[in-house]
Amino acid sequence: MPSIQAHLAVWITKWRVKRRLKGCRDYRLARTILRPLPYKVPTTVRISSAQVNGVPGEWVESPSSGENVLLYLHGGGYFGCSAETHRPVTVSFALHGFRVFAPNYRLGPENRFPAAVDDATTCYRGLLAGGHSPQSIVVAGDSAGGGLAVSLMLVLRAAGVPLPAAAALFSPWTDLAATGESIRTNASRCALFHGPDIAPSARYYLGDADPRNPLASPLYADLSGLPPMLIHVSADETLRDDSTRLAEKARAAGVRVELKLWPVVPHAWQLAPALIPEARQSLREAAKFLHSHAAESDSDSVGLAYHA
Amino acid sequence: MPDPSRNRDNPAGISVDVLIVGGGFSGICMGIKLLEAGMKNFLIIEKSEDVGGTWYENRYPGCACDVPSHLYSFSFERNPDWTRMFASQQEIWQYLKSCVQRHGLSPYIRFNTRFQEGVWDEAEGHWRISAKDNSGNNLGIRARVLISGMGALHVPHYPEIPGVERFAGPSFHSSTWKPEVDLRGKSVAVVGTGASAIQFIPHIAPRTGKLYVFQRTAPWIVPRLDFGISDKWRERFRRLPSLTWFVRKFLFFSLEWRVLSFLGDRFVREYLEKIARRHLERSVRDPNLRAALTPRYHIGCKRILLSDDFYPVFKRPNVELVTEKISEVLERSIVTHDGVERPVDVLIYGTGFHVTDQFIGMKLFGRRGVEIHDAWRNGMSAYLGVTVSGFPNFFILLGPNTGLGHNSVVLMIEAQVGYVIHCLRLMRGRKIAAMEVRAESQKHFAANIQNRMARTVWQSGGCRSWYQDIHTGENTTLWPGSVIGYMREMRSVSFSEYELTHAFPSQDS
Repeated sequence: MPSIQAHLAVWITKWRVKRRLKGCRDYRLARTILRPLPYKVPTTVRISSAQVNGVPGEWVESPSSGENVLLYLHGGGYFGCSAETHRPVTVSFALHGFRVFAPNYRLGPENRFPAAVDDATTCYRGLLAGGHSPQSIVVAGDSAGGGLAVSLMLVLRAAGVPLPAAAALFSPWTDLAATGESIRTNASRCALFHGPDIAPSARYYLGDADPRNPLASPLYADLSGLPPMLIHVSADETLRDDSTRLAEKARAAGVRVELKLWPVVPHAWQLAPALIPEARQSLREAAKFLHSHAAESDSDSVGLAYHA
Repeated sequence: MPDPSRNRDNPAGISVDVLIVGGGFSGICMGIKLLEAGMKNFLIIEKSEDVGGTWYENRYPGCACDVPSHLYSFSFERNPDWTRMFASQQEIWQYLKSCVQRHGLSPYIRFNTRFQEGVWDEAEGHWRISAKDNSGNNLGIRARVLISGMGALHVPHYPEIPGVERFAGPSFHSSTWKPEVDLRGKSVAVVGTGASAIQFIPHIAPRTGKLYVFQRTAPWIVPRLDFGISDKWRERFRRLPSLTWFVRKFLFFSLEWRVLSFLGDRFVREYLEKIARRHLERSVRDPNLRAALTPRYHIGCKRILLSDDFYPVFKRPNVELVTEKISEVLERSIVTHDGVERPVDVLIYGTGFHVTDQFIGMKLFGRRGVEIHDAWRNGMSAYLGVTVSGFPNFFILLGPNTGLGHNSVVLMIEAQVGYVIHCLRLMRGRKIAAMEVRAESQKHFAANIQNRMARTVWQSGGCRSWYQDIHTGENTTLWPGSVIGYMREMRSVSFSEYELTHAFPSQDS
């Protein structure tokens, strides 16, 4: 049964975000609407701005951080949000034993496709060059960051670069052409998005590029050879089918996929672990999954309770 | 919209989206939640002539619940009117009837209809079910989804005692109580000292001329602490419904911590044993009798019983505890191994139910014609206690490994019903014709369960109980963890653990 807090979160987001976001065609306005709630970083967590291979971002570390490195790609439709806005998630992963790097990849519409993919790839190569073995690197992302994480792996696979050990995707946006059935069927249930807004908002990033380009919409890519993926998505969000279809395709291509559907919760609910118990549970499971597939599996830090 | 009344009266073929078997707590909860979800094309079949399941069938004197009623009820139908902390069977049955009435569920229930056989039709993608009504007419039902709400405690279990068929007097099981049998002044034998027996023994003891209680293993009994809820409080509950919510939460947490003793926490276990032992010492003075009533295994290994009036019953001169094994039953007497023959007029079985073999007496054929009893040769198992590999679109409520020894199973039912609704919603949303759990997922889940089980008191507490499978000795009935943990697992659906058959070939990319 979904928690009361999840229902509450949906109600709040519908009222505070969805209502204002509906029909919005101005990316500047959308950026400000998508600004998340204020968040206080726990004192035990250290955050330091840094550049990895020229890509700016921030390292998030806690005393329990081990050798496993997590490259976290934030969401925000490829035009909004930043590493800073996604600290609830990165801090949580740091507390679960990862050294987290969250890059501020270039955003649209100022920097269009494939700028974000390029930055993510550069950043990953930088981590490799910094002495981290690919077996100890995992990637994760929510929403657009989830799609970007898959695109990143596709680029790496094509270039023959060793792939990360595993990936965790939260409500990934994998189909910028917005052809999923759920965009229509979940339109009223979704806490965040109005279905018809999805395809136009992809234009901030795509410009005139084809939304079915596999590097923009990894749903249209050949997914064989990718590392194990964990996908958590809300059953009631417009982007549900971006996940279900990706999971089906990946599984058919022989990729190990763990797909979990959560009722009620809003899109990318992992951003509110302090409010929603499902967010804590999802982050805990994702951390466990990523640790179990990374070489330096640090059993002490696995399952560490979330304190924030 | 489908017309439910047609489903009830049309004797020929019935076709529904969802068929629920059983009109007890599980079936009613499922029905209400389906109505709330707007999935109105369903039917509930119930073998008896009224709703209530266990709480309709078990009508022995003193039958009551041993979980506080404010918790042993639906979270969405909190009842301010419970007259006692532990309500009687009558009151729980009335409660269930009122739930059915309030939610307008009666048109969806077909009584006197017994599930016989279910066959998965691979080509059509639905279940073909045959049921029998009271007059022996066969009834064919087609359903896309089959949900078992048959529960675990309804098929009476009789012990194998030589010569029982010879017995000339009346004999019956606690769940098929014969109120017409007059016990006044009679010599009555009760076989078993389980949860039912300790409830009816104190009620019939004053009436009988002589009462023999045949005990195989002594149960652990803790004080019941039952009390009536005054009109004043009921009035308060009625006026302030949130009060019942707080009472529920309080009861939930005060029962939930006891799971630690089952999971191997010595401190909690010894604390519970101390409570039970003191309860026995205070009620029974005779050292021999006390020794006979003292269990020789860890508390929790068998179901912990609650009673304030069972121990004092042995103070009565007409009640005798017999711990000697029964060697045979004669026409008017019972002979024990030590050669003593006791004259008996009425024989009552308080010997419980068939628990580890669900679906006894019925047949369910899944994919490739595999029958569920064959699939469960090595003990029953289901993924999350709900879905079984090889049986698409089939959900079990209170299935394997989802019973509880420490808290209210209604909570488990609600968690499972929520899960099933979630699955049905996804099936509709994703146009999935059939969903079936993968064999390896179920195996992995079962292995995990048995792994956790090994450390529990049920497997290592030094007893054999009805929790355990008769053949393998594995505990296939209880959930080896907290209710909170189970609710958490049931919160989301791991779709990748299921084999999905799409109604239409996927058009994507």
